[in-house]
Amino acid sequence: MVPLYLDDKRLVKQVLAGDDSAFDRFFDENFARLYRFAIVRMADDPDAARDVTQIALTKAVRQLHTYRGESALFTWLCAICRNEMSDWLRQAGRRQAHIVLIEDHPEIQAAVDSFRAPPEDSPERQYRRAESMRLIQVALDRLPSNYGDVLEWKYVEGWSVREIASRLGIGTEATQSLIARARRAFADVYSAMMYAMGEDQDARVQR
Amino acid sequence: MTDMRNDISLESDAAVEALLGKASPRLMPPPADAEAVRAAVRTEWQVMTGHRRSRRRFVGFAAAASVLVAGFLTLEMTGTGNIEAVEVAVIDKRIGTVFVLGKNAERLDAAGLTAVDAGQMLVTGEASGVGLVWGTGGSLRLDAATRVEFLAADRIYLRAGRIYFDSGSAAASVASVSGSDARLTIATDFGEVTHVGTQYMVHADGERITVSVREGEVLIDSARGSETAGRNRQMAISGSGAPSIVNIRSWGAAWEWVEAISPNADIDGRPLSEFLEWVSRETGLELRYESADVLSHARRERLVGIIETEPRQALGAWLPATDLGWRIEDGVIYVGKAR
Repeated sequence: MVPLYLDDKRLVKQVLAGDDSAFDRFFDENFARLYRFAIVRMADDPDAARDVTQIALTKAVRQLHTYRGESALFTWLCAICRNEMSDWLRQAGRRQAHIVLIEDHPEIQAAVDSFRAPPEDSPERQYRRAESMRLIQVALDRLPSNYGDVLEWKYVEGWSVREIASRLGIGTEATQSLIARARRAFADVYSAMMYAMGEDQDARVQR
Repeated sequence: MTDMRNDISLESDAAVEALLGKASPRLMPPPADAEAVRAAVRTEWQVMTGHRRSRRRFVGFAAAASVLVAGFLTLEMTGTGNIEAVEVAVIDKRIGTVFVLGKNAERLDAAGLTAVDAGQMLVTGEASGVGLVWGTGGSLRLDAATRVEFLAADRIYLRAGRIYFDSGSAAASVASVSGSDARLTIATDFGEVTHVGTQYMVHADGERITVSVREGEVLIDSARGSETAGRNRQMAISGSGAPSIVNIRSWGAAWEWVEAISPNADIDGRPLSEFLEWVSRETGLELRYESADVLSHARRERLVGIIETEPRQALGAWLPATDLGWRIEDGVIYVGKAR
């Protein structure tokens, strides 16, 4: 995982240097993912999600010089966003949504952080199926941006390798290689999330 | 108990593909929201990177810049918290996304905002602009991707972007094009800009400020001392080196955004000649009458109504209703008898 963070650190360095294209990349790779991170925790309120995401990104830009590359940039942004959501909920006088935390790898912690407790009136099985499908999307968001994109284009939206290659401006072999790497990374992240969630459920049962 | 670990094994590519095939596309934020947030974050980024560079420069010439640095630091330390909340400007026109920043830099939609108080900060989006009637007179206009802090009734801080000020123009009437007591000091990272009855544009991009003067004179106080720029001159000042001055035109592409948010003009009962002077002032184009008779005609003919369009559009809309015609060539509006 270290090379990914080094890549993030390089991007941050370019953004801090005033590189316009680096800023666009920073925004394009993180805005939608952070918005999704926020909206599931803000009672699916799009306006609140937009405001919180903007505040988080604005603050992140101000604090960007403090990013050390010790976690993925998106994880770092999620931590800022989480604080902003707490403030927003407090100011709005709302009870904060239940958040399940585990002490584990930062990526897993951040991913599990976004889980929500099932509604009391929802059948457990139906909830599990829906939550599993949602977690696929969470796992896609936890991957490096281009990994998540190519997997979604290929397996969710049904694009051909050639179409993806054309969109990315790379060859078909490079695209196939990218998809293979993305698939492996997805398997790792999704499995880790499932494991972490199971551990958390075990702990709750024992309590 | 429920154990989701047992739900699926991802040891094979086929299993991963099957799992992904069950998912639906991820939610995408509304494009308008993405655009607005991008504009806000970009502006913050431009300000932040500009400040970081300027602070490094200040270290280089600290002694020479002592006065400016003191002023700048005072602003930085006091922020806007100690500024009395008085109305300093009225919003006259807006295009696209305009918002006012809250205390946590959150975006607040400025759609319902009719006036700006001291202590507030306006931010425009990527394809936006806003025109304001300045409290002490004149027209202040903010281009796209611009961030301005309103400090007092006679002072603003241009954090980033491009603004235009016309000390002699007001929304109320075209009659006010001559003579005004408009007072405004524009603070920037690289110095302060004041005017002596004029039209001018100030652009701050983090590297330098560029002051373009259409009419009158502008005084620029920077770390290197005071400089004056006159009509059709453009002065650029950065943190190092001498100011650079070049000749510019008072019209053309660089000024077009100014026209797009020119204030509405009340021409009801005013002579046609005043309307033409207003168009000339707003566009930067010189006004010439083909004969004394034509000028006399323009002074006699009275108009009715309020102009709510851009000046050139207004010219095309109003002049055909008179006996006069016009053409624009090489920065000049020629007015003559209609043919």
